[in-house]
Amino acid sequence: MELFKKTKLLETKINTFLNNITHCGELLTLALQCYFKKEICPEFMHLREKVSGLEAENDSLRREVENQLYAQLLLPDMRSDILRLIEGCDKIINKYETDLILISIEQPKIPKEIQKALSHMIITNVQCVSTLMDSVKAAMAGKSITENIHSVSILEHQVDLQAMDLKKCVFQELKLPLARQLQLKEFIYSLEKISDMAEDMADVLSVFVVKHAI
Amino acid sequence: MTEIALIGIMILGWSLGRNNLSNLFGTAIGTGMVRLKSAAMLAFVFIFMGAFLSGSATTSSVLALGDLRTPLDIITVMISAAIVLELLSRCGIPASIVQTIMGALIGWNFFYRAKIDWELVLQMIAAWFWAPLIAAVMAFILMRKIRKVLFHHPIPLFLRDRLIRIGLILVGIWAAYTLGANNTGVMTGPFFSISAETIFGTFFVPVVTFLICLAIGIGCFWADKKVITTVGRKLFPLSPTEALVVMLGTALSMTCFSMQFLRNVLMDCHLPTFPLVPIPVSNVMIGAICGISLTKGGNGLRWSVLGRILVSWLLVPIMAGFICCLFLWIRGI
Repeated sequence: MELFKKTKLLETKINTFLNNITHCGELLTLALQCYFKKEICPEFMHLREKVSGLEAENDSLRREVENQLYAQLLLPDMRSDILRLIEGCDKIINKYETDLILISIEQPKIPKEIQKALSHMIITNVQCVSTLMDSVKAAMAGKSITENIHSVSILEHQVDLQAMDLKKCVFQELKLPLARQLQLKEFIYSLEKISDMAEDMADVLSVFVVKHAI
Repeated sequence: MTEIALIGIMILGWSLGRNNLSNLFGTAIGTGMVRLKSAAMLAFVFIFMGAFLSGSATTSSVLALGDLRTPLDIITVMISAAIVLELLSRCGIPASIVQTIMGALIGWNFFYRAKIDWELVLQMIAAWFWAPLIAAVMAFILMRKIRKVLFHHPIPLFLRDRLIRIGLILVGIWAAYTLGANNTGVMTGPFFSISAETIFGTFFVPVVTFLICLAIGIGCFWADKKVITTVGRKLFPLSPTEALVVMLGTALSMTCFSMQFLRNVLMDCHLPTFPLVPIPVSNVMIGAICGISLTKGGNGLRWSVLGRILVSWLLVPIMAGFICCLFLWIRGI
């Protein structure tokens, strides 16, 4: 039974890793909503710290999973693919952290006219990543992931459309100095990238499932 | 002379271990599920058990093939078989001692113009055809069933990994036992053909069996990685689940041709029985791999590798027979 305990522990670590990413998405949403209202404030900084803490925790979890997979000779035929998946997911949480740090450094002024649309885009983004995390969990449980992967694609497409509308608004409707327009464009682009990363990982996951189908 | 005969048979045992570990655990090692050392250790222990507990079932078939007269005859037959087996190991081709010994024994019969029991030879060759076929059918059915069950009742990846690993070890143990039961009889057979009392003095058959098993065990630790790669990856890229099914199909098929108990049960039920003849494990396993590949419509099976293996099977008995005749001729000079 000791044999199964070790496996269970590894499974728990991977689930914690994935849950942390989903949780970080929620924290990012809260932090940005807080930023829209009060700009840089202690609450925002606290949320940013929390995201950084989870990112650091995930880094150590990733290393532990990598070591355990190789040390215990687990899933020899698929461990490189699993590690690729985990590393890909880790990049998403890194992106969450980087975006929050970027905001705290650049402190862009978000015009009121786009705050609601930007909020929606962030929520869709986070939903996209959360669906991806559910897909990874389903794949690890040996379940079907077709519907989840399809949802990730739809959400990513929605984010693209929302981002395009936002960029149009920034450049065509709002009368802002070019420097601010470019800064906002970069900010939107940076957030938009999150769902692109999720979609890329969804593709990797689809290949993983097909490749390792029994 | 007795000592030389024993050394000859131990060399053959060593060759058998080197080549046949791939037949027992090759798919498991090739897919990275079991370590080579662990597999060798398990094979060592269970070949021993198989040889001692049920090792005599196939001996009579070998005895009927050739009436070897002196220890020198045994050495000649064993060394000829070992040379062919070693050659195939170096080429990375899974081979079986059964074919090499049978080839060498027929060569011996030819050289001395002794009478060959062709009926038995044909029966053995027929069994060599049926055993892989049975393994292929079993592997095909099992794989399809497993796929169906896992589709409806998914098992988490890590749990599946653990279960497959345990399964591979258990089936490997079973296969090692059947190899010990089926194939060591082939090696001890020639010793039975001469009176143990007169030729070997204090050496008794259990001692000979022990030495053979020891040599097989040592050979397992020297297992040829080329053969393992051929079996585990080159012929058909197997997943761990498929590796398990291959081993299961092989062990099931081998059991049919090794167990006196099964034969008695079938006879009691008035059902057709399987002949208790030595079966080449490598053929059976290759049959099981082909069965797995058929579940995918034959895709992924490397026909060139399969062709090379099939040609080698045809050539193995001929080569062994030829080498045996050559040695006998040299001895005559």
